This record gives sequence, structure tokens and C-alpha cells, in this order.
Amino acid sequence: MLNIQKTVRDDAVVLELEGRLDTVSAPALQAAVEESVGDAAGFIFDFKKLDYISSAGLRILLTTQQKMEETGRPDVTVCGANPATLEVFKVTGFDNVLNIR
Amino acid sequence: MAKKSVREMTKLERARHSLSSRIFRVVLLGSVLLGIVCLLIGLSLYTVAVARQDISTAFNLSRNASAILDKAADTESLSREVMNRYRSLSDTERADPVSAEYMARFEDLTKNDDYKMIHAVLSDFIESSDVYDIYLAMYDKGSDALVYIVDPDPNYPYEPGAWESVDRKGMEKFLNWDGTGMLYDIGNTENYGWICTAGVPMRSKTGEITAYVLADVTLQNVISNVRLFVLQYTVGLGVVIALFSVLLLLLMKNTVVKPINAITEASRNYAADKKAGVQKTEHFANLDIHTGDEIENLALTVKDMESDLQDYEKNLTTITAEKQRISTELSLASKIQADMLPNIFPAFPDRDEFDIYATNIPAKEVGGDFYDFFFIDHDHLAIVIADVSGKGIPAAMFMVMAKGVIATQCMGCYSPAQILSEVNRLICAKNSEKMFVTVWLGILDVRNGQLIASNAGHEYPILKRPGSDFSVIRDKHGFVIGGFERMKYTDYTIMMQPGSKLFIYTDGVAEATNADKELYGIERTVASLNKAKNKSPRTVLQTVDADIREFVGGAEQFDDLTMMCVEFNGKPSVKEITVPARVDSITQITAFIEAEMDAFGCTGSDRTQIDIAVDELFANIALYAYPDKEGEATVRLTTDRRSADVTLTFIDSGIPFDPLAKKDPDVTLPAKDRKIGGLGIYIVKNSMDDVSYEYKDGHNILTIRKTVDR
Repeated sequence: MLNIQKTVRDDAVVLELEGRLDTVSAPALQAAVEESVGDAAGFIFDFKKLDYISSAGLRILLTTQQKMEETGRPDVTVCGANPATLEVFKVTGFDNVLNIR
Repeated sequence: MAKKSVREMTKLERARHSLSSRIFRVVLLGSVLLGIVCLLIGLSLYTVAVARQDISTAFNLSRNASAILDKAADTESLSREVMNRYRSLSDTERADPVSAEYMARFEDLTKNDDYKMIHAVLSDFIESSDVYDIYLAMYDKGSDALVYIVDPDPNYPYEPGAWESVDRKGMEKFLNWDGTGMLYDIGNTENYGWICTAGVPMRSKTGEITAYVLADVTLQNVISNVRLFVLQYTVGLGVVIALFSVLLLLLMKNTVVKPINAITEASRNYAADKKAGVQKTEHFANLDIHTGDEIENLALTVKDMESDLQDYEKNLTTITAEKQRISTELSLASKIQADMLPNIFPAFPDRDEFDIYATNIPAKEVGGDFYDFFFIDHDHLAIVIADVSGKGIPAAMFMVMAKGVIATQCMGCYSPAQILSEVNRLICAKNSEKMFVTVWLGILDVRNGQLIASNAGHEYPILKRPGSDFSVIRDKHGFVIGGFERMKYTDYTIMMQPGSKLFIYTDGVAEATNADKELYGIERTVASLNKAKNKSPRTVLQTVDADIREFVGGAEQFDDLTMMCVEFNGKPSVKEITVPARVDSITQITAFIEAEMDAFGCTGSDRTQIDIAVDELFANIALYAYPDKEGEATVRLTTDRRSADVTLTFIDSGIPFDPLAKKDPDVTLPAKDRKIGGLGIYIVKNSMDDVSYEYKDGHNILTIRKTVDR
């Protein structure tokens, strides 16, 4: 199960996620990102309430980053990730790709 | 501000704290005060005596003169004549008694023979004595004046008829004199300063006073004598006081100050020596004080104290050494006792049918609680927990005996009730001190989890069955061991399914008390157990121990604290689920895994990593195994309590595909160069302890294994 709260703060889209970002729930997030990727000045993924992320979630983060970079707005931030998620970022080298706070 | 000790004082402050200077000040002040009082008394006596002498001289002179005049001349007629003339004058006529006009009225009288005679007699008296003046005069009541009749004063003579106004009050003495004592008056005069006028009246034949013979003597010499007296007295007294003070000071120094200083010095040296650890001191014994007073008593007392303390210290050293010895022996005994309990875990590394963990924290160095476990034969594990009445060495010794007897009796017998009966009989036979021990004894058949137990007055065991919480088993209690011979005990049986846990403990757990005298209680114990219900026995005991410590806080541990937890493992549990190979089946799979992980006690990051792996691997199957048709996939979960291993096997009959054969993605590339895909299996490989793939009998079989922290 994944709950997505979407808000806009200073032209950046804030996506607050709660639950599990896995293969089942990834399409919902994909849709939420695609809805805004055209005009957002940046993305903030708030992972404070996220239990875990699997590669399906990583894919969304990567494609978002790539799309933003293509249009010169490479401002994608992930904040509040728990130790398990940070470990996943570290193993996959995503800690170098994303702006993690 | 706190008062300084003598040690902290400066030299100056110590000097101010001097008894001799205080004595000197007191003596000086006292002597001066006494001197002043003496001076005042002496001075007044002296003054009166000297003045009296002068008055007496004047009085005698005037009396002698009057006696001679009585015979030698007619003073009465002369006096009457002068007075008559004086009285006949008006106030204005006699206003200026020294004017030539006034004096002319009386001048002829000086030619009178009587006058000459009187003048000569009085002059002789003046010449032959120390008086200023002896003269004949009469008092006129009407004008309050003293009228001179004959005045041979060599310096300031009055002519007859000259007058002086006088104070009526002073004159009254002379008018009313009854003839006894001396008649005199003292006054301050312009010409002579302080003088004394003494005199006697001369009377006519009828007794009427006709005139007075008066003598003036100066008191000036009295005053100068007094001055000299004061000067001499003061100087003399000063010398005496100074001498007296110095003498007293020397005396005090020798009899009080010096001995006290000697005692002070001895005390200081004594304290310094004691601080430095010197055993034998003779600072007070060497004091040489023979003042024969309280100071000598003090010296003798401190001398006695020194030797008494020396004896006391000697005793104390012996006692301390003895205590040290007992303490050493006790800590050794404590170690021996601790070593007596099986305390190396895992206790049976080659036996994986069960897991056992126990702790024992005695309240004193040695205690009466104990636990024990040992195999009776290949398949039967005896488990003992016991609590001896009382504490300390007696309890410890009784505990050693009880433990030995129980262990011996367990051999060859599988009925805890029978064993306890026999143990009771043996202990009662040798129990003159009437001690007793509560025992819970269980024998676990590790092949099938059958536990036969019997309880001799011990706390209820607490059991957790798979899938439920810990709960108290209210087993049948027999009487304590050591109470009465021929006691009977009852066996009961518990079937422990794999994953069941038994918690046994002594009263130190439920009766742990906090600072508010609250008991920890059985309810808190059960709640604490349930916090770690799916964890290993070690974690369970650590959790309860931490909870008790937190509850008790700073309060002292009153009773021994002994706990033991046994988990029956049985064989590894294998469960599987078969679902359609679709992404939406992941929810179902996840629910299945969650429930099993809960029961196994797998939490934290281990759990998250397993969850992620399940998502990755099942998603692979759902997305790629059956490209053109519907298919199924099976997930098999094996949990092994013995090794704490979680093994997951994913089986599908789709197209053969070895996900492990794929090259690992380059995780160092920047975002723009990254490929989507291959990350999932990479995460799994990195988080699991073992990942393997095989294709067998038309099935893709992917197995992952992870040893988890329970």
C-alpha cells in the first residue's frame, strides 16, 4: 500500500509517500510524477513515512532525474529516508545520482 | 563566612589568638581601673585631712587672739562705737567704704588706745603664723554687711568702719554657734583665691555678741598639695601596674600559655603523623607539663587518648584484615557458585532441537537461587529452577547440597514428581536448620517437545505457544522441599510445539521493588516477555532484565534474580503459497511473508531486506516468466529456529531465465548514463547471505537465504 500526498511549494512539486514503494504501488507514483514533470521547477520526494523502496521505485526516481536533467532543471531531492532505504541508495549508487538530504 | 582553622591562619592571625596578650590587656585594664578608684578615695581623704589642719590652725589662732584681746583691751566699747557710727549713716553715705570721706568719719578711732592695742596684738599673731589675716569685725544684720573694726592685714588693711556685704546664709553659722567644734566657712575670694575663714565671737558680760575675731587662711597650698599627690600617685601606680602586669604575664606564659602551646604543637604533629600513616606516636606521651591544674589534666587526658587510639587502631587493623579476608573468600565463593551453574551459552552447540538461556544475579555475594539443566540421556533434558529460603552463605551452602541431590536423583528417572519426592526425603533427613527450597523441575523430550514437570512450591511457569502470547500456567503446587518428609508431588505434561517458549524464574523477578516500594509483579513480567515474544531466549531474558532494571531504578536489589527461558525448536518450518504470476499477487505474497516473519521474530532491517527481495523476485516472475500466457508461481518459506535462517524459494514454470547470469549494473554512472533495469536483482544479491538459481524439471528455481537477528 502506498499513500501519495502531492503539494506544490515554491514551484517545486512535493510528493509525500507513506507505506511501501514496490512493484505494485510504483505505477501510482509514476502517474503522479508524469502529471507534473512538464512544468515543475523541481521534485521533492518526502520519504519520512516510507517503509521501503524496491527497484520499481528506484526506476521512477531515476527517470524523473533524467527527464529533469534533459530540460535543465536537475533539482530532484529525496529527504527523510530511513536507514534501510539509505542502504539501498548506497548499494545502487543512487546516493551519487540523487540529491539526498 | 566559616571560621578558619588554626592551620589556615596567618602568623599574624595566630598571634592575635594569643592568651598572653589577652591576659596582659585584662590585667592592664583592671589595674588601671582599680588605680583610678583608689586615687579618688585617697585623694578625698587626703584633701579633707590637709584642709582640716589648716582650718584648725586658723580656728585656734582666732580663739587664742580672742582670749588675749578679752584681757588686753576693751573690744566691746570699740566695737559698739564703730557699729554705732556705721548704723547712723545712711545707705548713700556708706555706699563707698574706701572713699576718703567715708573713712574720715572713723579716722579718730585709730588714735584710740584700745584700737592700737588690738592692732598690735593681732599684728603679732599674723607675724607669728601662716595666716593671711587676723581681724576684728562685726556683722550688721540690717545691711547684711561685715563691718571691720580692727584689721591689721599687712597687704590689704581695712580701716575701722569699712564693710563688705556678706551672704546671710554663710553668716548664720557664726550667729548661731553653740560653742562646740570649729567655726569656719570656706569661699573663693578675689584677693586670696580659695580661703577658709575661721573665728570665734566675743561676747559682752550679758552674753551678747559684740564682735568676731576672724582668721583667714589660704587653701591654695591644699590644692597644690593635692596636685603633687595626684602626680606622685599616678606615676607610682603606673610603675606598679606595669611591673605587676609583666610579672603576671610571665607567670601566665609559664603556667598556661607554654603548656597549651606544647599541647597544640603535639596535636599538630600527631595529626600530621596520622595523616602520613605513622602507627606508633609519642607526641602526647612526651609532654612534660606539671602545672598541677586543669592544663596538666588535659595533658594527661590527651596522653591517655593517644595510647587508647593506638590500641584501637591496632584492633581496627586486625578487624579490617579479617574483613578483607572474609570478603576475598566470599567473592571467591561467589565465583565458585556462579561456575557451578551452567553459564556458557549456547549450552549445547551440537543440539539444535531447543535453545536455552539463563541468568542469575545474586543480591549478596552469594545467594540461594539456582538454575540447572543437563541431559539425563540422549533425548531428555532436565530443567531445574530453585530458590532456597534465606540469603547469604547459609542459603548458598544449602543450595549447593540441593543442586547436587537433585542432579543425582534425576539420573535414571523420568518423573519429576518421583524425583522431587526422593530429593525431599533425602534433604529432610539432613536438615537440622529447617531450611527449605522451592523447586520447579521439568524433563523435556527434545524429540517431540513433550515436557513433564512438577512444582514444589515454586513460582508458576510462563509459557508461550506459537502464534500466541506468553501466559502464566497455574500448575499444581506441591509443598516446598525440606519441609516435611514423605511429601508427594504431582507430574503434569505440556506439549511444546516448535516455537514454544517456557519462562521460569524465581521470586526476585516478580518481587523486584522500586523506590516507591512497588512490586514489579507478574503482570509486568508477562508484558515484558511479550515485548520480545518471538525473539530468541537470550533476547527475551535481556528484555525482561532491562525492564526490571528500569522499573527498579536506583533501589537496591533485595532478592536474587534468576531467570531461564527454553525454546523448543523442533524441525524447521516449511510453508508455501502458490498464486497467479501477476503483479497484483504481490500483495497476497507480502501478507503471507509478513505473518510468518512476525511469528519468527524477524524485525528491523532484516525484515525490510526480505520484503524488498520478495518484491523484486516475484515482480520478475510476474513480468517476464510467462510472456504469452497465464501461469503460476510458488513461494516457499523455510524458517529454522536453530540457525535463525530464513530461506525463500521462488518456483515458476515459465521460460528458463537465470537472473543471476545478468551482468551487474554499473552503479558509478551519472544519472543520464544509467540503464533502467538490473537494479532489483543487484539489490537482492547485496542484501541476502546466499542467492542461487537452478532450472530443473521445467522449473525456474531461485533460492535466497538470510540469517536474521532474533
